[in-house]
Amino acid sequence: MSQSHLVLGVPPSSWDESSFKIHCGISEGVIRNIEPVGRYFLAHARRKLNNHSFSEDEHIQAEANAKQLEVIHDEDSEEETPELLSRDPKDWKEQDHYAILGLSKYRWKATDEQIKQAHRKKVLKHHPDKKASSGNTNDDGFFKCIQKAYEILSDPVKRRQFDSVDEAIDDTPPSAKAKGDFFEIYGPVFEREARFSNKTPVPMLGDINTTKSEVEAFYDFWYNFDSWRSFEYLDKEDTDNTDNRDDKRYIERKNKAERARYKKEDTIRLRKIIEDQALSLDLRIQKFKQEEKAAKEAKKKEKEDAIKNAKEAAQRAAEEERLKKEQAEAEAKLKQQEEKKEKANKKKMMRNERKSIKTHVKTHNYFYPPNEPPPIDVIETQLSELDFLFEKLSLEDHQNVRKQLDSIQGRHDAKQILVKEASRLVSSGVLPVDSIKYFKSDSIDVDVTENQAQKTTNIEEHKVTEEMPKERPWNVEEISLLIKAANKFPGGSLNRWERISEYVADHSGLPPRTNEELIKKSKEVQKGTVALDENDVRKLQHQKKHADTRITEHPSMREATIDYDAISASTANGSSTTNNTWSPAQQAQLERALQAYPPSWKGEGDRWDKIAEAVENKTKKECKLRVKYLAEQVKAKKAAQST
Amino acid sequence: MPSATESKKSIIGLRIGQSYSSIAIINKDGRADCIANEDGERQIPTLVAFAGEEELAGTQAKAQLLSNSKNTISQFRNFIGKSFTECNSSAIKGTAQLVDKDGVAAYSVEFMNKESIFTVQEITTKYITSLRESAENFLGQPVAGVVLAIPTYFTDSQRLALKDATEKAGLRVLQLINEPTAAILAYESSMKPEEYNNNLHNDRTALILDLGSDSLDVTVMSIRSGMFTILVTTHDPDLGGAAFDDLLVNHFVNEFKRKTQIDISQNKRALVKLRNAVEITKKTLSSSSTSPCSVESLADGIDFHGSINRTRFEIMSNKLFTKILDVISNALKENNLDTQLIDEAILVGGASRIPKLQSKLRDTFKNTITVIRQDFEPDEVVAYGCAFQGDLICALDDQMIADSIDTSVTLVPHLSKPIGVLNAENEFVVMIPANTPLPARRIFQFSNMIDDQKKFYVPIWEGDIIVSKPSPPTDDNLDIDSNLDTSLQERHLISPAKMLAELVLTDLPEKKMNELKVDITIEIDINKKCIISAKDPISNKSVELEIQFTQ
Repeated sequence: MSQSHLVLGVPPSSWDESSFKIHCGISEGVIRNIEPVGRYFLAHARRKLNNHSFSEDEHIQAEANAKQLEVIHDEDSEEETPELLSRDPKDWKEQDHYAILGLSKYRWKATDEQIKQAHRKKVLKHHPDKKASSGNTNDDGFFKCIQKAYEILSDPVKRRQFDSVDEAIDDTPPSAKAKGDFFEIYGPVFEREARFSNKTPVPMLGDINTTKSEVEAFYDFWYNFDSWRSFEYLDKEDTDNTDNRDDKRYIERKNKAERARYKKEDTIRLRKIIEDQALSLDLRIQKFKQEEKAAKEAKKKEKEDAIKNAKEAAQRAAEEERLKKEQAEAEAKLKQQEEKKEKANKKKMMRNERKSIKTHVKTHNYFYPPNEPPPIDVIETQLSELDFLFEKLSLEDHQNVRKQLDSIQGRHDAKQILVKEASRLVSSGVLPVDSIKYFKSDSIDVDVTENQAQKTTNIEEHKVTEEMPKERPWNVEEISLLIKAANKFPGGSLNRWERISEYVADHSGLPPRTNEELIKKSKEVQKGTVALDENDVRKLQHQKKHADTRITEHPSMREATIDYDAISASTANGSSTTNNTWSPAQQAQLERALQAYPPSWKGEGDRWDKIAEAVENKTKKECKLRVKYLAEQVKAKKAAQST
Repeated sequence: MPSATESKKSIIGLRIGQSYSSIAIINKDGRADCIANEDGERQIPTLVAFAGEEELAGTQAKAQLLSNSKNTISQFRNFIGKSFTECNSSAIKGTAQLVDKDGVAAYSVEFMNKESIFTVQEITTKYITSLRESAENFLGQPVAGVVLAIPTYFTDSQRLALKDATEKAGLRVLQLINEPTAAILAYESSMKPEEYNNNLHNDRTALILDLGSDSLDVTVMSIRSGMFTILVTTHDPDLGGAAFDDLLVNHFVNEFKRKTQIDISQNKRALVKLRNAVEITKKTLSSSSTSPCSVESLADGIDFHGSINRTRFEIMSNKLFTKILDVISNALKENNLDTQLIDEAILVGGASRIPKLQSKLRDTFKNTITVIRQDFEPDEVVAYGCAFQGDLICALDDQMIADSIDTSVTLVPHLSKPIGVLNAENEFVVMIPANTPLPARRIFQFSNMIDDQKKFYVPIWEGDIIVSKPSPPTDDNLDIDSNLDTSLQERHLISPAKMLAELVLTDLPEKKMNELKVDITIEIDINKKCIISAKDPISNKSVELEIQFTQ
């Protein structure tokens, strides 16, 4: 627009010295609606709403813009060294783009706006046209540098590539041994590395008072750091330099490998900063660890104390128990000793009694009339029978018998006492009937006439009593056979009981039972089948077991004498038969022989040969077995007594 | 730290026309651009159709216009927010029937094999939803907000109804702006700030001629420092692109009758077919001198092939041109405006492309400096303006926007007469032109007339408009610079009428001619206090006075 008409003249000559004159007012305005659109309307609305005048609003707006401007004004101070100005634009890869634009103190922090403004400023200053006009040589090298710098920095992708490898920023991790405040050293490090983060905001190191959760979040973030740092900028060769497709591919591959390598190195570097240095040097981590450790130790101690207490209590309890036990043991020992003593006493007393009884018998001249020497075999029989008797008699009985014997004089009376005693034992089943012969009331003593009647009654009584035990005890086999037979020959069948008896006898190999016995037993079985069965079964099992253990208990013996083994087995199965083969006389002979030839005997020939000679109708082997059997009997009896 | 460029908020500008709609966005270069819908159309027909179980809108609905006209709804925009009685149902040409639903205008259509009634608002919502989907498909993200253009003649209830319909369609309505305002904003916003400042305060008066499909809107707008005030607006619902179509349809109906002896003037189906064909014929005529018109099986299985040349069309539509120009001149005259006061005429609407109309318009402004502008697509310029406005206010919150468009802000006094200074040559230099919204402030820099001028004389005058004085004829092909020169000459038409005050600045430093600069400031504040000051920025010498408005 031409300025010609914007010219003011001088006041007319008639003008007085006053500075102004007002003639009349402005014509009244028309109220209209402004269209509420456009940025100028917005400015109007702002003024109107805030009741600001034009100048006030301008002032406020200017202030708002001031911050940005301020930053840019600062940059004027950044001087351009001759070195910088003489840069060769061809070496753009090496140039510091920020320094070229005068932004070296902002670097990656520079905003896009700052870059734009800085570029404009530099262009205005260094444009080739301007230089040419001021008479300089038309050296536009620096201008090219500026353009290149702007090209890189204004493109977000290229700028990132440049920022990734910005040499002006020291990205070497601080020395792990660096002395000083941890936060002062590592704070800037993390701030610097944060620029590569894809994720924002990036948690910062914080200070010593940062909470544990924050610290953990911080390390967690940095462990999983998502970096945009890339190394394209360091590519040694450019794919654009060649037209050959193969070359291009080759270069591309090489560059790619190189980039990957750099990237890996960078990741390792960051890892090292975090893991090897920051984490290990972080006072907070140490603090947390100590706290944790202290807490753990406190807990551990608590636990240990508890264990210790428990242990002590247990020890005390054990000690007490032990003491108690010892006491009990001592008591038990004492008791045992006492018992033993008592037993020994008893034994002694018993021996004394026996001796005195035997003396009595002797004094009575073995119940033979005085002056008439009793035959040796009678004496032997009497003595062996007495031994039998004594075995079965208790101490009291002994004393009783002795006292009776003491009190009486007559040999018949004395004998009567013994007979009575023997018959008592026999009748109570303690003594086998046939073991007592001499002292049986009916034993042949022709001279004995007195108390004949009493004797016969005794015998009768004996007979009656003997009737009962005559009935053989039923063994399990027989019972089961009986049941079988009873089932086989049901009620009503011809000659039922005879056939049952036959059947049982045939199958058990035992002498046949009488009809009465069978009927009685079968009734019993019928009444209490279960109880009997169970009892008998247990008995059977027990027997079998006993036999088995016996065999296994003496394996050496089994090996040594196979025959003996068979015999012993037969003994186990039917001990009664073997037992029966030994008459009391033979028994007495054996006993005497054993006394004559004790195990310590050292005469000529075999000990057992001598014994066998002493016993009528018995071989050496039979004698051995008998002794063994008796020894077992004694042993079993002892065991039964002790339990 | 450089961060990846944040995706710009997707704000769209939306113009719902009576026949066509357009969606505009601001692209990466800061320019407005219309986006195409899924069918590749930038001009999306304002149509909703119900076909069986399908709801169709836009381009797809247009196909239904012929085959399924009973269930196709067109021309519904102007009925929004109106009661049934207010609607002119005769305007509906062979499409879905308008019915009364509790006093509200509604359409009766067959949908899902059932007779369904949809109110105009519901139809509008359906249509805008389809536009939103198109925009989102294009943008690849949800639309954050929309600025809607509306005709100036819309009542408040219509504006509200359209806004509601848009919000129901899932769009956040940032602002509603008048269509001519949007058009002028599109031109203003595309101007660079430097350009703006060089052009002094860019005070202009513009005439916006919006020749839509079936209405003519003439708006005269004053642009003062980038603020727009509508001075006049008129609306003629009978003039528009459709009126030209009618002429052509009549023409071809007669031609067909002449050729085949078949009268299709009562055959609705044939007329719809012909109308669709004629629309294309008319568009072609704007660029070429002859245009064919062919319709297959127009009536009774007979194909129609005809053509028309531009001259014939122009003769035919001469009456319409005259009518349009009458509307313009009447509007100006009624508001005491002269064609000479119009700085530019902006053409909006598809029909404004008709070459003859443009030449007629030039004839009207023959003796003025008026520039006829159609830099932007006349169909799309309104949407562009909306997009610019959306881009401008998208960062503001709803409350801020609501406060800004409140009448307490927009309804302000405007200067009725220009205020200026008489320069050394006794010419009137307008500083604040008439129709400038208040408060206003203008600063002009004046220089000295002679060497060593120690005193500055500043006479402040109020101007008046002298219409009678004709200005020399200007060539239409003049470039912008020469136009600006002539615009100055135009200002000479405004003569000083009343002296308001005089000012004298003394003891100024001695300078050569044109080297001493003095700032003259006229500021009228909110309280209508006018402060005039003259100041030498170097020596800081100043004089200040205050003038009141007359009661």
